[in-house]
Amino acid sequence: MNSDLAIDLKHVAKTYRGRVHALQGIQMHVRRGEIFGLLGPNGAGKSTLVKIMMTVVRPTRAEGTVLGREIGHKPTLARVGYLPENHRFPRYLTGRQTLEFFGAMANVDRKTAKRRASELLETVGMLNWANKKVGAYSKGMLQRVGLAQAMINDPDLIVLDEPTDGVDPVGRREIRDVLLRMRERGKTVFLNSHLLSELEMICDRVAILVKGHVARQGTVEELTRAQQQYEIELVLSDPIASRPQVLNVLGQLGAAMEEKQTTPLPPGARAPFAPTPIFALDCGTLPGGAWVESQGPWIRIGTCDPEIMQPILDRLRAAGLSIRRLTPVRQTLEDLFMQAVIDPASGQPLLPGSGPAMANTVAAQTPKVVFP
Amino acid sequence: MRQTVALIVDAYRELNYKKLFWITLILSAVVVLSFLGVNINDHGLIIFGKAWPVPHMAMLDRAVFYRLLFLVLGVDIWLTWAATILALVSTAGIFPDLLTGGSIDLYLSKPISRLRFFLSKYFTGLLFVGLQVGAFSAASFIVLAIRGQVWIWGVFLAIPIVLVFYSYLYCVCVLLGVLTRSTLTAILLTILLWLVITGVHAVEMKTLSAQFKDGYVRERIERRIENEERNLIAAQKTYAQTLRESRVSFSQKKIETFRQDLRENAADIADDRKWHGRLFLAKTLLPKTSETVALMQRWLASTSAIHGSNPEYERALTEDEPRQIGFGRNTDDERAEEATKKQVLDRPISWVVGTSLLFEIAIVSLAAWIFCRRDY
Repeated sequence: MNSDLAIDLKHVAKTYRGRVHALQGIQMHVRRGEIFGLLGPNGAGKSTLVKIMMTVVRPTRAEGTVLGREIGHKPTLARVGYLPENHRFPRYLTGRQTLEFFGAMANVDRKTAKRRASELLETVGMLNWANKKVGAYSKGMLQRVGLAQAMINDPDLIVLDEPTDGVDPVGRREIRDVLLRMRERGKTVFLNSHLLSELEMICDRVAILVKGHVARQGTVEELTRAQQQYEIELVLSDPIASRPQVLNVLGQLGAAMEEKQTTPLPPGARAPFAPTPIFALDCGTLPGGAWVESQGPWIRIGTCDPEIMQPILDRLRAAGLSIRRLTPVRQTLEDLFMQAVIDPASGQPLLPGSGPAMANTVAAQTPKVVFP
Repeated sequence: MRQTVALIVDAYRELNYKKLFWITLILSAVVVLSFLGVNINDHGLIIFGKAWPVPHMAMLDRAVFYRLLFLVLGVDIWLTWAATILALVSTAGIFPDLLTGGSIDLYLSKPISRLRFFLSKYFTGLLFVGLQVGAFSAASFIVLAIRGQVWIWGVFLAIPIVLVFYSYLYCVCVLLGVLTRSTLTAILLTILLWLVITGVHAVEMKTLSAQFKDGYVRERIERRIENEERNLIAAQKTYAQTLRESRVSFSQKKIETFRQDLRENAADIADDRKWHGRLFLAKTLLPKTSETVALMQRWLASTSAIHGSNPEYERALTEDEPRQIGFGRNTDDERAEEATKKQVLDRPISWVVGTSLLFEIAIVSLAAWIFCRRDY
């Protein structure tokens, strides 16, 4: 058991009615004091995974710990805060009563619950609405109170399912700030959200879940850096006529270039440089292992190491080719997400029930777990 | 304990929020206040100032009258029918609402076991009836004391009795709510089961009454046979041979007819017993709603005060045929009905409540098992 881990999941599986394999052996690690984001398309098993951790769903198989205790250990939940997706608070309670009630359910004593309820209502900007019935709240207000509810027991681990759903941009920023403050206080935040840009802003590490498997896991930096590349745009008056010259330079660098048929990019995938069918696509590999592609005035090198780029630039200039632009291209979390959820064979999103080949597809793409 | 207290307070807040709770309470108040409008004197009833002559009213004790008023109007009609239906409508949604997505997650993710949470919610669901009956009993106690000048402490027995009675139905409602997650289905099927239980009780009473009635018929036939046998002995002593033969033959024929009646009667009684046995077994397995409520009668008013034996009926039994008393009924019908009621009221409390609680435990256990095993 690793005491540095707030969540340490191994072989978590869930099969509904013996047929639907929602989770197929999840391995996931969340360090204490970090903000961890869980991503995945609809039906990937995110909510099932969260519900297993929160004892709402019974796993078919589960090994691992939450805050150092085995999954399903009820007393440990006193140290965990949880905001479910589309939560429904009793309509007859006021915001303050809601916090006090769920505080009591989390075994917080009455006096502390009262004090924390006031503090948290102020933190989430709901103090003026504290004594109004939650039945009168808007979606955004409910999310704010929901967040406060999840924090009423001053949890060591807070699990939030779509916390910013229905919240306006100002509210989102406030929620982000609250989560960042929690991290500063050494708390662990586990976020399940579709808003990739928001996760990218605050998550230390993320995991991408696809059809019950962890397809990617690691820090945002590591995952996106793995896909980093440089793009060179040359000043060419006639890119078609200049193609042999460019291929010659790349050949001098040791890359044996082969022409490839240009294939359309899968839906949602972002091209690193604008592909155009009028230019042939030539591909090869540099002696150092970095791949290289050339198409019209663009050359793309699959590396994040600027040192590798220096001789390439020198050779291009020596051959009389002018460089208009050198751009380091880095994938966004959204690019990474789309790449993970698109079936490379069909180019279609991996949706629930999209075929039995999913298990093989995902298994074939060895999960890229980066965990330094 | 902190969680249990929180759930009780929450249940109270939920009730407070429901309009039906207050409507039921207001209707209870109307029923209790109606006691104020009813009075008796030596000549009859006075209902809201209007006199209704009733013969032999002077014989009725004032305390007994108000006890009966509370039993019939307060318990039998209001609490066990009208208020119970309102309570079912009001509480049937507790579990289906709880089981909706986004609501149950909030509770199950807290450090409380599913079983404890389920049982806490179950018992707090009975709070509706507990508070209603408590308020009704207290108000009735005060009103009856003012109006009847009698302190009937026994009215507070209504609290545990009606609560236990309601819990028989509520457990079924909870099981159906957990199974179907539909409030409407839970209400309708619970009321259907209640009607079935009431029907089984009514038919069981009928078969028991038929047994008594057939017993009276048997007594009469046996008495006729005895009389006719005496006539036969007398006829055999008749001097004139022709007359003797005629009388003996007549008596023998009559005796044979009576014996045939007796055999048919024995078959009827056996049939009654067979059906009654089956219905009694069914009743043993089912909750005994009517008999649980009837416990109030045992403790609040003596059986003879409510169903006093009518000496006229006793005398009529010694006659050859029962007397007609109007509306197609005769003295045997009345007497059989009284005997049936008495037998039902004399059934052991351990059987009435014990077997019903066993039913409730079985149903609640099943509901709890489903609740605890399910994924949400």
